[in-house]
Amino acid sequence: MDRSRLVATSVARRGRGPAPCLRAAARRALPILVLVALVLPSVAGCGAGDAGEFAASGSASEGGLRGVVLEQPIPKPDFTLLDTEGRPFDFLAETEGYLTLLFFGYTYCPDICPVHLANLAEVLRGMPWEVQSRTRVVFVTLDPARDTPERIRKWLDAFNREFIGLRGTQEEVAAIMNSIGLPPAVFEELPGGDYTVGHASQVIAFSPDGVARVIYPFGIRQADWAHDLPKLVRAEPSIVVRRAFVAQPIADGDRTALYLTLENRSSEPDEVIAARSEVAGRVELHTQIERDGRVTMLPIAGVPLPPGASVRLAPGGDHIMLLELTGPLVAGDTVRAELELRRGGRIPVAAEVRPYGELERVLAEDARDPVGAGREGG
Amino acid sequence: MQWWCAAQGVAWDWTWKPYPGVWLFVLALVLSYGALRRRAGGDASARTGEIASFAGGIFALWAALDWPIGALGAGYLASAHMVQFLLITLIAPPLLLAGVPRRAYAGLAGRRRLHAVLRWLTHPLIALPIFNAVMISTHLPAVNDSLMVSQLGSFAIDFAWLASGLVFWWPLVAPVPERPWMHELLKIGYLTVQTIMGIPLFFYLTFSRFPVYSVFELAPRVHGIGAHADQQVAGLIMKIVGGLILMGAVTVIFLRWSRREEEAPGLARRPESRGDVTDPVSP
Repeated sequence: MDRSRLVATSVARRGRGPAPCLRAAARRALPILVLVALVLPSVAGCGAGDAGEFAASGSASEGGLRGVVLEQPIPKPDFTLLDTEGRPFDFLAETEGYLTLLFFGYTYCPDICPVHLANLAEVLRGMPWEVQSRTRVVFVTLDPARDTPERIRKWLDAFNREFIGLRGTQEEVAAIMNSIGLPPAVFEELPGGDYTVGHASQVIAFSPDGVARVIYPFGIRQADWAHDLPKLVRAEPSIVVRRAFVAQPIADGDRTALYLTLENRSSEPDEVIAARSEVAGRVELHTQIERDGRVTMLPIAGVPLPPGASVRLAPGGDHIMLLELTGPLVAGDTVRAELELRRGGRIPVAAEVRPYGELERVLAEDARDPVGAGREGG
Repeated sequence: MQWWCAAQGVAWDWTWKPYPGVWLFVLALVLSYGALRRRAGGDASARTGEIASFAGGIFALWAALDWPIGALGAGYLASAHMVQFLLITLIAPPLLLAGVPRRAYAGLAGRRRLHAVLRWLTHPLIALPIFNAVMISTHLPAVNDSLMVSQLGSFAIDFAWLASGLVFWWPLVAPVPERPWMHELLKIGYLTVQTIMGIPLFFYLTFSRFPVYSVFELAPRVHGIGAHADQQVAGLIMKIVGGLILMGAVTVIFLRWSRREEEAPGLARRPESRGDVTDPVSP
């Protein structure tokens, strides 16, 4: 029915007394009542527990994360700065195995820094202990001139006493930012001699495996953090190292080989493109081929890791050569090395030195138990 | 300089800022009221009370819209936003309506079209849904977050609140015999229903696990107040303070009714006639 006719009818009925007036009014109010009835449950239904989903601003990434997924993952940078107690803080070592949220800012920041940290702190407070205890929030000041250790500590304590504050020279911090692809801070003078610091506003989330695959720019909501943090903490590394061992070098030898099994658990192909170790001056990726009846070792550019595959670096095939050894290696020693992956950043490897004579037995074990339930390296 | 309070994203400080749009809006209301008074005249005894009531309404409105509550509520604290909502919808409108001279209401009789619209809008079965539709829609995160970031959007929300508040309070406060059948019991029921209607919003704000409004969650912090705690306070302010205001109104209506019943025991009476005001539409 034409709406203008409805209105006209109701106006014409007015004045016939309370009952008709009520009925007419009820008819006129019906569309509004229906609207309210439709809106109310939808609001009420978004109550406790659901508001986060309702308010989520980030779009779900392929991995189900709401942060911005990086096309090129960032390996955790290796640096040491002073913490708020004045002690050296080895970032790589101190945060190993933790979900590490790295943020560069300054305590005089009027907007982005306190909002980011306050939202993180609020969310972490409500997270299960498993998530809280396995997360490290590291704040690096960009303004060491004004941000004294005491000031940083006091400022961070206002959010969360567990937050770690680090301080270095502007050059040191700029180098760290550069190493992970962040633009340097920009200092802008204000009238009266004061200044502000323009800086990257993203929090970089390094998974427990030491690789950042996702960042959180300003604008990320508490609901998004709450959605992603447990996933990031529990995220298994996409590349798992198993059965890593180093063959004990022959007497006075300055070289040996590192053997291991790599399991790519992701759906993306990856590749080992380099390796390094403190025990060797040079580390190369090699393969063994047979040419004209002679066995030869050749350097290779990388070891492909197909998705879902388990790749063995073993005698007779691809392996890692530790060249120019810096000292003797004896059976039972642990050699620490680091593999650089094309997608997955860097992964640490801990390999036990085994006598060369044991290799056959170890390889036989490996063949019987290819997933390596027993020993793990890294 | 902003003409109306809106979210800016800059750090909060307690430095006074001018909002000329708010002053002009309030000034326009005061000037309109002055003109209305001059035209309506009326007896001196009523005049003082009406002027005091209107002044109270104007003050509540001005306090809600101007710095600091207006600025805090527009872009920093959900709790201040809720204080604004209560001042604009539950405090200012009844005071403004009670401050309008009775003769001015009577003058509506000569403007049949306006009178007809007002009569329809202010019917309790229309006014209540209108008020709640405005309350709910302006508190939806999508609406709030998209409007509060612009001065025009912020003004639209404030204006919608005031307009819906006036519509909501009209059947209770406006001294016109529009609803001769609106017994005190109905008025009490009307206010009680409104108390209940606010419950979903109260639950939504108070018991959401996370802040629902990005405009407040991502705003620079005011004295370190957390966004989630602030939102919970907003929900509690809505429920407790809003509930007290509505229940206060219920108490006033009940006491007046009770006093009248005592004056005329045994008689089921309608609300007293308002002398010089006539209903131009009812037969």
